[in-house]
Amino acid sequence: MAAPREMMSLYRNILRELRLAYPNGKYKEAPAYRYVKKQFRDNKRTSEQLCRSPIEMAHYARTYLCYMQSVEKHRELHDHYKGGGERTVESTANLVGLGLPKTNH
Amino acid sequence: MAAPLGRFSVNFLSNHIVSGSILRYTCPIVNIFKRFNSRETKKFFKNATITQSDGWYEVNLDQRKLRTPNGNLFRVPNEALALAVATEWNAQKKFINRNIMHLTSLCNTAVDNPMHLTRGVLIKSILHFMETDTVSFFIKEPPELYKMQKDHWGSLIEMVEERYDIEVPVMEELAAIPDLNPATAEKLAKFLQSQSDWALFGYNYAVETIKSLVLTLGLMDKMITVERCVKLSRLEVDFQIERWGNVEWYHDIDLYDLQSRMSAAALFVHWSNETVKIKRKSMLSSTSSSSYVV
Repeated sequence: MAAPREMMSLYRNILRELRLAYPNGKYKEAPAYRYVKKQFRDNKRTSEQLCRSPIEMAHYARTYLCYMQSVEKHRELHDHYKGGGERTVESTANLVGLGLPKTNH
Repeated sequence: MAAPLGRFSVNFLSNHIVSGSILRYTCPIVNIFKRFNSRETKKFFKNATITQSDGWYEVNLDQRKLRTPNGNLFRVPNEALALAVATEWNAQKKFINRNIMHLTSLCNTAVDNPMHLTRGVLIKSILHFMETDTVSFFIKEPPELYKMQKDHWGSLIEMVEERYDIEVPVMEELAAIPDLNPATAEKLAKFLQSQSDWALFGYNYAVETIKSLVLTLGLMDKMITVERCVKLSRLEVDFQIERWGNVEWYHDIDLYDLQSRMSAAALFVHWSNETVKIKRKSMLSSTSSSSYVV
């Protein structure tokens, strides 16, 4: 059974990721925001009655959090290390003093 | 002492070995060419929202309905999945980067089915990975690595074997790879048949990403978390990192890439199996119509 403290921490972290995705405080209008809030609230209420769902829910909350965090970290690292991309054909030709042939466009 | 290299001093080079960030220094020069590279699409909408229609959920980018690469209407059978896709689109900054929108890609594949895969073909493709599963190959040298594999993979293999009543082939030498035990193949095929069409796409994506059906089953069955699943698939890499150091722009990018893909696949499979509605649609078969449980 997922501890209530872990659920709170998962909830806070998911909201933090949503806040990153929606800058300028607009995350409250995010389509996912209401859904996430409802899921956690419902889970809190029914956690005594149903044994199976809280464990499942904690697992998928963790998975969704991992998804958002991994995508963000991947994006950050990629932006940091990606460099300028490839040179265009024109600038490559210019490197050796050549120009591209004129085409009829 | 060697002739001074100017900007690239010896100190700088030793920093590079520690931090692996040499590209950070070459970036300012290379970046001038970025504005000539117009392959990226700008973010062309302000808001992504979801709507419901006829039991399916669609995503709207501003007023326009989202479409798949093949031009089909983008629609998914599960609300949470649609919300997650809308969040993916809203999370894009100035440019749209489809390479990291894994949930959107998975949904597009399921809707379009561009390779015209049938259930049988998908199941066969998924089972094929079992024959050369990542966790099947133990290496005796060096002994620390062998111990790591026994410790980490051992318990998961046992759990999966027990849960599905199968035998995971384990090889410790580079001999001829035996065929999959027919009883194992049959039981796994039966399990995969019980998954929805969309879930099969998710399974296929997952096994192709980490090259292991055992790890995928462990993840989908909630035996292990995504982080642990990816860690288990990268055991040798972690072993080498412990010995030789971590290279951020290779190891970390690879790690987060695997984690994003596997967590997307896990969520996709879960949400695809969650809705229990019977629909009649022609999908994944060459005959005119067939029903499937969504």
